[in-house]
Amino acid sequence: MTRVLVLLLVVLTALLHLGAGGAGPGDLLAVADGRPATLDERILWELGLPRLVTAALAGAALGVAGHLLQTSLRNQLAAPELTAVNPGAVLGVLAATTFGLVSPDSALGGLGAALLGGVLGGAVTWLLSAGGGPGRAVIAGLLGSALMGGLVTLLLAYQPGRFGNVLRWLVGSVEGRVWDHLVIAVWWIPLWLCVAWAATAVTTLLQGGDQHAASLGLAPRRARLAVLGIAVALIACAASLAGAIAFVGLVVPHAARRLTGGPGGHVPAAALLGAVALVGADAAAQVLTRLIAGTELGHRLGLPAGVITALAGAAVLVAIVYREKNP
Amino acid sequence: MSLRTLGLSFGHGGRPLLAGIDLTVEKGESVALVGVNGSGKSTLLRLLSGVLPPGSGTVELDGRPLARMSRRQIARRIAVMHQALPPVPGLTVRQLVHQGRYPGQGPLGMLRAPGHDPATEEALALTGLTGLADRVLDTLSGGERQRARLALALAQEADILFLDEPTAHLDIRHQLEVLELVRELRAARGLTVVTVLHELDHAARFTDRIVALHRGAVHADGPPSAVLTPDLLSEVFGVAGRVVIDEVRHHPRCIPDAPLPTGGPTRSSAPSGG
Repeated sequence: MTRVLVLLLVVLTALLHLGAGGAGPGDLLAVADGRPATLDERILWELGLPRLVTAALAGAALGVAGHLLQTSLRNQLAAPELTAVNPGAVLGVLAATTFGLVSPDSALGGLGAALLGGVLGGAVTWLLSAGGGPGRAVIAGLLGSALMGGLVTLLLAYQPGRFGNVLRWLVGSVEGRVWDHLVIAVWWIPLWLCVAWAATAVTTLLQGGDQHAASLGLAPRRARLAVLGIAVALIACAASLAGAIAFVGLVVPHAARRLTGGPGGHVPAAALLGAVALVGADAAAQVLTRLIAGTELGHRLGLPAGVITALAGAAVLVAIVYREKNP
Repeated sequence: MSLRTLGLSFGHGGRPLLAGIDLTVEKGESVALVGVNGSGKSTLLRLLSGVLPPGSGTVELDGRPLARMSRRQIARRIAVMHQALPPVPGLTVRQLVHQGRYPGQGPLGMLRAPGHDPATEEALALTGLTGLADRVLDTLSGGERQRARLALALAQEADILFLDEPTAHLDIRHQLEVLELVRELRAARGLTVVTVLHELDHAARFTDRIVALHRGAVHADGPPSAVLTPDLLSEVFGVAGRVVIDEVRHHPRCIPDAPLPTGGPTRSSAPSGG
């Protein structure tokens, strides 16, 4: 029963997203048939579907990465954007393209640059929080994120003319991604999602504390590094696709853990919910973009999905905090 | 021979907590570790289980140094019942106990649902928790939590069981229940048991051998009747007292009378507790 409902939710969100992009049922059938002929059908195949897949992959990656960070660091506030990993990955992509090291459209180059930047951001947080407890990790993550953000600003100052192009990375957007951008992500993200699921027992033991993990046969430091490595692999790929999407990695894992029974369901639930959240946010972004399309603003920009996740995520977080204060 | 330490020492910031411990625990023995707070009991237990690397000296399990074994290999032989439950929100009793299967099954084996694991169910049944298996840990009473901790250790199916103050914060009835349960399991499974205890009478009644630690060294080691003496009470615990023989159970019973004004142990401020 639950599975049917979940499937229904996923399909509905996907259709909503495609519909928001302007695709009709006829276009869908034509694409499913493998013969996109008319302009609308080709737009669906070449822009609409890649955009949907980008949002689903990035959302799933961020949701699961947030779950891995929160459990292995035992910190409810650990999230891709609050541990400097996501900001670092964005910095990596921007630095690599600004200095002409990789082409902005290279899937491999973008992922490589994002991985380097993500590891850098994570390492800064790790060093700043060394020897401290969970509270210190939060502060270290915020400091690291601020540092990465500062370096991005430095890059922008270096080449102010690129500001318009850079905005999509800073806010987070899944617009304008085509199949060429996705050649690595379509196997990279599912692969690491599977690894994350296979490591469920490891994250569950780490969640119980280092002493708990150690006496049950897990070397906590090494295991934590491995889990963080999985998280960085997911976050970097999501960032190379969609930039600094905020709040999905913070809020989705809480909901996923609350909605599923045992630890075995946490990773699949975080992946599904993350995908649904970002696809839904991007559908809303597309609808809003159409609504403001008539105004002068509408000619200048499409509303990025990152704005919607930031607004909706903040609202959810406030609701959670409020409920914890007033049970 | 089962578990042996050679010149085991450990310290924090130049201050030794344990120095030169030579101890052998034979297979099937039940040993109590006693001593005042800060005497190094819990530290010794952590060194013996390999969770803490020794400053110097070695711990050997059947002649093999723990330092050369992987954490999972150690956890298949040694199970520890800790003083606290892992603080994981929403974790149920069965999910917790199932975690004890990790050393045997590894990450991939653990992916099977916890409801179908015979060793988990057996550990739940032995500790009388089958009916509470789906309860969330936070909702358990003190005695039930203690049994959940024990069930977690039992699920590891290790032949050596370490208990770190298993009776702490329990009322008398639950103290006896836990210790009786451990005694029955030890007999049924042929376990080797090392228990950190504060209650000397429990140590005398439920174990074959008492090791008294004092200022980081073994002060006395032997059967309860030989170790528990008025001298031990004054030298190790800093109290004047008498030791009588229980007429029914024939084990020694300590009756502390008064704290000694001088010559007692200085209360150490060890960060790791007892």
